[in-house]
Amino acid sequence: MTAPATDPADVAMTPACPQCGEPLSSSQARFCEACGMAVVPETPPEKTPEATGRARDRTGKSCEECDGEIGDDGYCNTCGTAAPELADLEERGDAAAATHRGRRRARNQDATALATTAEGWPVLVVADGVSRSPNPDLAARYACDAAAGVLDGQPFTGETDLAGAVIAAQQAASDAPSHGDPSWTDDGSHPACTLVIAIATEDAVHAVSVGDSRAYLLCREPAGEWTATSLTSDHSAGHALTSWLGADGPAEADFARQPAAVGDVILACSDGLWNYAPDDAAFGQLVSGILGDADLNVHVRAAEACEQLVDWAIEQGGADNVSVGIAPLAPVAAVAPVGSASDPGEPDAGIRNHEDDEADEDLKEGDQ
Amino acid sequence: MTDSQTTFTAETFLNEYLAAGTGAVDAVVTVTASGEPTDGAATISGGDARAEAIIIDCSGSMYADRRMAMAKEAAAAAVDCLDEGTAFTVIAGNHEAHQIYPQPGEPIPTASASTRSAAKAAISPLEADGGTAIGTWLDRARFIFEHTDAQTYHAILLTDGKNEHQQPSELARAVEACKGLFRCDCRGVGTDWVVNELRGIADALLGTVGLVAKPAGLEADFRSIIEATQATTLPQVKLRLWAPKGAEVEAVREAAPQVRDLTGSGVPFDERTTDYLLGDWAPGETRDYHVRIQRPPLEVGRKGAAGRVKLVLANGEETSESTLEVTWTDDHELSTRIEAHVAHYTGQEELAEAIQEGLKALDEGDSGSATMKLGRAAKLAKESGHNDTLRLLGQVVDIDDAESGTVRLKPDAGKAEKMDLDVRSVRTQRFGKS
Repeated sequence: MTAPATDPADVAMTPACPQCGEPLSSSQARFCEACGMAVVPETPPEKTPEATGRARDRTGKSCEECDGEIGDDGYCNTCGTAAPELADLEERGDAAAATHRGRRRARNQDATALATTAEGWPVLVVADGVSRSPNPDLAARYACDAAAGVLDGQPFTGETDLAGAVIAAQQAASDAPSHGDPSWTDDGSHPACTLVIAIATEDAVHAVSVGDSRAYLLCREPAGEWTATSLTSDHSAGHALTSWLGADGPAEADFARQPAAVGDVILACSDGLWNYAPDDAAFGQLVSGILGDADLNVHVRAAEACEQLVDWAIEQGGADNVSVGIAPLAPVAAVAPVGSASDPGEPDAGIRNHEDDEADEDLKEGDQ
Repeated sequence: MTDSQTTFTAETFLNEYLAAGTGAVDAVVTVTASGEPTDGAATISGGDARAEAIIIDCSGSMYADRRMAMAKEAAAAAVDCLDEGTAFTVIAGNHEAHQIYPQPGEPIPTASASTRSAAKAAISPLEADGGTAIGTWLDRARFIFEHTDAQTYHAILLTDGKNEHQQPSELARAVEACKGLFRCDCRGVGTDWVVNELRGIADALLGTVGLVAKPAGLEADFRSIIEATQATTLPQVKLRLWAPKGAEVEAVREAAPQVRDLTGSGVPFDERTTDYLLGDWAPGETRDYHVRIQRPPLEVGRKGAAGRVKLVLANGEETSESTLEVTWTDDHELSTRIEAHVAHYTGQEELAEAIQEGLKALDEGDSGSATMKLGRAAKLAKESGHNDTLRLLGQVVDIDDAESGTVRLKPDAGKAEKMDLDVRSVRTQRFGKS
């Protein structure tokens, strides 16, 4: 076979396929292009704490069990208990998303992603890897990144665009490798995850869901209380999913659109949060307790609200991974147009987070 | 002397998930010194970088079977193998220790053509006479080493009998006093010595035990011991183990190349930290250690450190720190999984234990228990591919079916074969090298 001339540095950096030995297209490649073998990337694409720009320093913190000093490795120097883990937090403009392992699961199989449409509208994406499947964390990660990648920087026209994002996420989740999960015995099943996408325009909220992750519209009442309205219905019977993304999945999507106003808020979350406040009334109470009567119209502290909701779910027991994304409906004037070729010099939200998009680029290439 | 080119690394493998309410953590720590194995001559320098004591038994029983003549030849061969510049002494032992080279009171010489021939001249007239008090021999070696300036200290000890002319407590005290000062490889010749006695000395002094059934094999054996010793140019490496409050370090064992219990030999460093001397190292050498810590459980879903491991070099430098991280789970699939390295070495420890207990039962005339234990050993050896061990077992029992562990005691099994099996029971295969 004739290989195109390759930069020697690339060769050194690029791992070989464990099946046929041919070099992979990149260190993030999920398939060998020579033999088609699914490959687990050496470092699964991951939002790094640096990307959030938030300090992740535990200096000066003491152990919550015994008040001892926390060592450099994150464990108490006296009793060895791990310091509380911080949620992985992502921020983009006024939107934020946080995801956490919770207390009882061995790893975090949820993923979140944020995007911004060409109009400057915030996009929240949450996926929850299905525990009874191999590499559920990869399925969730790939699905999130694919969905966000399709919507990011593109004009948003409604349901058709959401459907396109779901199709891309379904493809990405199906591409997640079925092998190589150290905590799964290969049984022929494939990675699977849920997906919820929520978008806030200036006068409506749009959502789509596959599985049992949810999107809510949050509205502040004149009295200062918040109401929560679930926009999507769960695809589940008892605790069993009836629809999911992945190669095995009957991926049925549930679309919703609801008028909304500036000052309202969209929220997307995994069941690790809503299980502790399953009906809209309880969820509204929860949100009221956290958002209080803050005027989110001016400055949503979405990041703080996400972290507080995660902390609350962990306090309730943290039985599952917990993920939540929050974004306010902002007035049109407050957002600059994003990604338009006619306006290249504008320092807007889309360009600001350009680095986050690299994984998405790889993903799109891998899909072709 | 720690070569600045050499780096030590410790890699840990463990069962990272614990079932709710449990706290037993098994970890394997693989310690590797970088560099190419050498014969040592090139990497250690300075006139008295290494000190060697050659200790040979000259008790009355050594007269039998030409043992004394062979022992003298072996000692002479060992003297011949010493690197130029190695400080050395020769001790003849019976119910007391005799420093035969150099003369007591004279400074310890370094190996050269003239000192080698002087030492051999002192060895040559030795005659077998008297009893056996091994503790006095060790005391003498320690005394000499304490007055010798070197980087590494090593002794080779040959005996054919048990420590009859000394209380066990006196031997234990002598061994304790030598700990950490020098390594000692022990060799038994004939079948009148006691495997456990020599193993106790060798384990405490981080050496090996060997059976030299035929005295004719001594010379080659001494040569190989001296050569191996000369490759160990990196002295006094320690494993520093931190365990959390309320935890108990249940075991620290060398797991490869041989099973050696280090649990009791730890020296407290601070309230929660204990140092375990790992001995001298050769560049390129790798050893595996098995650590078992019992720590108080945390709630399901919480993460905790069961321990922290680091290496301490001879100059006090700490290196290669890692944390033994565990997570409590109610997922049985996770908590019942045994990490491959841990499984490998716990299996080997179990095999060694089955052999030693089986031989002990045999010795005590408990043939039922011996058959059961040695049968279990045969099964374990078969399962783990220890074909050498299986072959040695076959000299003591008739193995009808190794897979099911069905064996019959051999009525005519020789003492040398049993001792050989016992001695070699502690030798392990490195993980992944079977």
